[in-house]
Amino acid sequence: MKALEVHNIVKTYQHFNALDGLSFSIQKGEVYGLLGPNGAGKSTLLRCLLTLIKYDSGSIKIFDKELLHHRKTILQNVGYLIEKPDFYGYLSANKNLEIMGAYSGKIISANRIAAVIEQVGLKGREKDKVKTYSHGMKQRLGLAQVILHNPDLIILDEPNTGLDPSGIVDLRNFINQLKAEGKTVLLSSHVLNEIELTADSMIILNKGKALVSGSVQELLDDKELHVKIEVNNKEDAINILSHTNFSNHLKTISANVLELTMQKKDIAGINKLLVEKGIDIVSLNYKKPLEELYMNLTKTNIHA
Amino acid sequence: MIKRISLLIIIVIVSIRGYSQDAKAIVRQCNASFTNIKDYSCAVNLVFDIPGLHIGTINGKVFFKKPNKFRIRTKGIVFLPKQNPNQLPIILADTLNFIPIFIGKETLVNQMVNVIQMVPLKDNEVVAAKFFINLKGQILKAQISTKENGTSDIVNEYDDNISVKMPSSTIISFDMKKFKVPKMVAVDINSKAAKKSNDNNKTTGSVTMKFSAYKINQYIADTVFTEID
Amino acid sequence: MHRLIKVELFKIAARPRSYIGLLAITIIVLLIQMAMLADGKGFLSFIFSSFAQTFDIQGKILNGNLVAFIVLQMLVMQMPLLIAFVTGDIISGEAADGTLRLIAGRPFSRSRIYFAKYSASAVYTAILTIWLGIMALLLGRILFGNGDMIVLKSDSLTVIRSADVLWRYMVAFGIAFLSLLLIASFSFCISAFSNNSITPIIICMGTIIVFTIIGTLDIPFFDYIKPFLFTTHMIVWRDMFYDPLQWQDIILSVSVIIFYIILFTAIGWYHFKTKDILI
Repeated sequence: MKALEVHNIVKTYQHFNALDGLSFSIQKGEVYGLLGPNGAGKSTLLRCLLTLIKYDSGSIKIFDKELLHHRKTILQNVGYLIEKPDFYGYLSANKNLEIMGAYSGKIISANRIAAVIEQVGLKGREKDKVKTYSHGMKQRLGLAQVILHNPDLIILDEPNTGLDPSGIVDLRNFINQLKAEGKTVLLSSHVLNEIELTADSMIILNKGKALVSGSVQELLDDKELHVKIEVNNKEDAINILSHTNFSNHLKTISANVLELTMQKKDIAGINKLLVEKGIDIVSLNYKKPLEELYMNLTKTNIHA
Repeated sequence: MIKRISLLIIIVIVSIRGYSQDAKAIVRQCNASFTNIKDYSCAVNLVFDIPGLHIGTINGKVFFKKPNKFRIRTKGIVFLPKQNPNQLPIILADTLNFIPIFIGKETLVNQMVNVIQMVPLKDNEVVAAKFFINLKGQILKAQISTKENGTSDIVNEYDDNISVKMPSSTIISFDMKKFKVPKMVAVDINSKAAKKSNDNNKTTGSVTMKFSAYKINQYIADTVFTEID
Repeated sequence: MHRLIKVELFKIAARPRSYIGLLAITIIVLLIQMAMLADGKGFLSFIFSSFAQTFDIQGKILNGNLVAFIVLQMLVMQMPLLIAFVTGDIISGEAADGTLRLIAGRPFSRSRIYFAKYSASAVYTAILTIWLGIMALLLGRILFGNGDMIVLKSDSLTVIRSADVLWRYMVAFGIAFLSLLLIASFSFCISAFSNNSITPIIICMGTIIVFTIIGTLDIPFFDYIKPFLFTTHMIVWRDMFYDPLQWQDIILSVSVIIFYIILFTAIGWYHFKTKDILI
C-alpha cells in the first residue's frame, strides 16, 4: 500500500513554478528522503501535503484518500515538523503538548503526554516554559508533538538543523524507531549523510521537478566514484594503472595526485595492485556516493 | 386761581391717602392669612418647562418656618429658580422696607383683583413687586423684579379642598440666561447629527409646583433646613 | 469547536499582554474616581457655573452614575487600543511566532480555527467591557452612591431619574460591547492579513484616529462621508442618555455596527481560509 502518492503537482507563484508537474510515491512503512538545493521546492511540497499551501493542479493521496476531499481524516493521521520548532514560549512543554493534542482531533491523555515527554528525553523539564529551552530541547519537543497522536505518516523538514552530534545520533535512532514501528517517514534534509544512513528511498528535486528518485541502495550501488590517489611516484603509478581497466578514466590532478573513476568495490583491488608494485600510497579518498550523485545532478540541472 | 390750585392739591392728597389706605387694607387682609402660620410643610410635585433643560417631574416636600426659612427637599436633582414663592407674603408683610401703592383693579382668571405695587423704601434686592390680590385676599399673581435674577412672574392657584390660605399650585416663570457647557463634558461631541434644540430660541422658563397635604403649625426643627440629603 | 474555543481562551489567558487591558482600565478608572473624590465638587461647580446664575441646583449631582459616565467618556479612545492590542495579535502573533503553521496543518479546517479564535476575541472583548462596567459603574456607585444622573449636551442638559438610569447603562454597555466588538473584528481581520503583531494594532488605531478626526471636522464635504464611517456610529452608546431617547438613531447605528462586524469578519475569514501559509 502506498502511504503517499503525489501526481503532477503544480504550484505557481506569479511567473515562477515552485512545483512543476512533480510526481512520486512513498510506500507504507518506508523512510523517504527528500533532497534538493535551496529553492528546489521541498518546503513548498511539504506545505502542500499539509494544506498549508494550496496547489494549483494535480492530486495528492495519502493512504489512498484524496487529500482535498478527506482532509480531516487524513491529517488526524499525520504528524509534522516544518522548519524550526516553534511553540507557545509562554507555556510549559506540558501545556504546549496539551494544546497540540487538542488540535490533533484525538483525545490525548495526560499519560500519553508524559510518555512522549519521556521518550524524547525531556522528563524533568516538562513544566518549564518553552522559552527557557535550548534549541536542542525545542527540537525534542517538536518531535514529541509529531508523535503525540500516534500518526502513521510523519513529515520532518530539516529536523537536525542546529543539533549537536549526539542530537543527530538521537534523531537517527528516533527515525529508525519510527520505522521499526511501521511508521512512514518523509524526511527532508540537507545532511546527505543522514539520508544515506536512514532513508530507504529518496527523491532529488530541483526547480520544482524530480531529477531522480528511487531506492537509495539502487541509486548509489552502481554509482561510479571519482577516487583521488596521492602517490610518491606518479610516473610509475601511471604506468601501472594504464594497464588496468581503468586506464580510460585516469587523470592527473596535480604533481602526485591521480584520479580514477571506478565503483566502490574496485577500490581495494587498485590499492592492493599499487602497493604490490612498490608504489607508496600517501592518501586515498573519494566523495561520498550520494554527495557525488547530488552534486552532479543539481550542477547539471543548473546549467541545463 | 390760588383757590382752585389749592383745591386741586387737597383732592390729589386726599386721593393718594385714600388709595394708600386702600392698599394697606388690602395687604393687611392678605397678610391676615399668614399671620397665624408659624410653619408649614406640604407635599409638592415639580414640573419643569425650561428651555435646554430636560428634567422630569419629581415629587418632594416643602418646608417653611418663620421668619424666612424655606426649603424644597427632593430625592433627586432639581433645578429650582432662585425666586422663592414664599417671598410673596414676606414682601407683603415687610412694612419697614416696602410701601404698598394701590394701582387699580383688573380682571384675572374671571376674578376681580386689586393690583398693588410694593415700592421699596430703601436699597433692596427687590427693586419692584406687583401683586394681583383677589377679594378673598389671595395672591393670584405677582411680578417680582430683582437686581440679580431679573423679573419673574409667579402665578398661584387655589383649591379650597386643599387649603383656603395656601396655594394649590404655583407657576414661576423667569428669564433664562444662555448657558455654556464645556465641550469636554458634552455628550454630543462628534455626534453624527448636530441636532440643535429648538428650545434654545425660547428665553423664558417655568417651574410648576403643585402642593398638597399641607400641615400647618406642626413644628418643624431647624435642622430640616440644613441637613444634607 | 468548543474544544478549540477553550484552547484559544486558554492561550489568551496565559499571555501577560491580555492583562494589560484589565490593568489599564483598573488604574485609569481608579485615578479618575480618586480625582473626583478629591475635587469632584469643584470640577462640577465649574461645569455648572453658568446654570448656577439662574438656578439653585439641589440634589446629589456628584454620584456614581455621573462619575461612571465621565469615566466612559474619557476612555472612548483608549478602549479600542486595549482591545486591538490583544485581538490584533491573535492570528498575526501566531504567524510571527511560527505556531500558525503548527496548527494550520491539523485536521481542523481554517474556518474552524478562524472562528474559534474570533469567538475567543469576542469573549475577551466582553470581559473587558464587563470589567469596565464593574469598575466604572459598580465601584462608582459604591464610592459615590446612587442618584439622578445629569447629562450635558452642548446646548442642553438632561436629568435622568435614578430609577431610569440602570437599564440605560445596561443597554449602553451592550452597545459599547458591540462597538468594541467592531474594533475587535477590524483588528482581527487585519491580523489575518499580517505576519506580525504590530501592523494590525497600528492600522486599527490609525484608522480610528483618522476617522475620528474626519468626524470632528465641520467641512461640508465630509458630511457625505461621516455616515459611512464606523467611528461615527461607535459612540451611539451615549445616545442612551438622551431624553427623549432617539430610538431610530440608536437602532440605525447599531445596525451599521453589526454590518461592519459581519463585513470585517467575513473579509478576514475569506482571506485566512484561502491564503498560503508561508512562514
